[in-house]
Amino acid sequence: MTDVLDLFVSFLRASILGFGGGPSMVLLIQSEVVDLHGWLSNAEFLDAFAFGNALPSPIATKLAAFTGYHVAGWPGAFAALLGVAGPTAALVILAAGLFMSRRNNPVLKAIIAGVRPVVVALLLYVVWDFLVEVFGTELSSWLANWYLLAIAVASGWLMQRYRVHPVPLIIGGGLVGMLVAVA
Amino acid sequence: MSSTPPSPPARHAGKATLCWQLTASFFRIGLFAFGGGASVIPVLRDEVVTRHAWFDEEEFLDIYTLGSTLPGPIGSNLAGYIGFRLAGAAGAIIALAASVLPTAAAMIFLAALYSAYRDNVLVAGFLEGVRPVVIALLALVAVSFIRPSLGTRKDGWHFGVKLALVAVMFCLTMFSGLNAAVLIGISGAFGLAVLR
Repeated sequence: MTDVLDLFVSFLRASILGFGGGPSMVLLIQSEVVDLHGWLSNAEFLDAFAFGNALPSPIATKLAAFTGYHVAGWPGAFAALLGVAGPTAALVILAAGLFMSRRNNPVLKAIIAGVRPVVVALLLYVVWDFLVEVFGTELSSWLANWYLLAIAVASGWLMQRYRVHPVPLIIGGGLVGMLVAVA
Repeated sequence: MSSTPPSPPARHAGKATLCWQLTASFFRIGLFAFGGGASVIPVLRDEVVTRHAWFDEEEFLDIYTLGSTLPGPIGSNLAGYIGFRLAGAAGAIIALAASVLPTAAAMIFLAALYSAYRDNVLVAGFLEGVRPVVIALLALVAVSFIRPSLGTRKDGWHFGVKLALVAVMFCLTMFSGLNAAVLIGISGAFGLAVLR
């Protein structure tokens, strides 16, 4: 029972301190799970992280489910998931409620006007970060990965021009990747 | 920025139908967001703006802004909030569960298989092919945010200042290593001082 409670508290702590979304939380989760409680060895954690990256949806919730189940079965998985996702979601609901009801307040409007461009900048940076991760910074590595570039251009074009749903594009990209891998 | 009050989300259906739609939507979102973190955004936007028209572009930008300003996993935070906006506490729980539980279960059940497949070429190839799609889709989301966040040239110097803010913050993110929350705080204060 103490394990279940510890799981909830640990993942709550990682979640509430994790600004900037899932990836920034991985280090916090690692320090809770490996360093503080010793629930997983570092090698086990890295394996779980690598495996989690192969599955869809946020990494933090997958690490929570995996660690919780590993430590205390289904109750553990549930407690860790609740800790990682529940309180911050409640916080967003609360904050959004306050924000939406004061949306026309001139002070708040000025703040939002300043914040919106930054959110765009942060998202553009994510795109840039992904680009460097996939293609590197050398022109030669961009050319060597020409088929990945072709996938990016084709899927962007199909989405923009023909309103193709993201899901078939994601599956299609994955299938092309598989074909190239075996060819 | 428009001065009209926020419109309530379009409700095309009764609450029961809405709960089913939420379940199906967030199940799809959880299932196809490969690549972690921001990769959830294009699929999420497609479901709540394009497919169901629950929110317009500007509302979605505000929701995303809130989600990325506050701590926690952005995917589950937005699921909880969108569920709540559409169908109250029940909606929040439904959307959270539908987006989180399927892959959490997959993580637990498939972990045993991982060591057998860790170096599998097909799995690696699939993930490699998905990545550029996610990049392209994210870039399109960023482009869709430009109009509601910057306005147009008709807005005069505000437009120029906001455009400069995008460039400055992009460079700060890249070179300063400052936390996103810090940058958002700085620019909120900047907005308060300059964009009134």
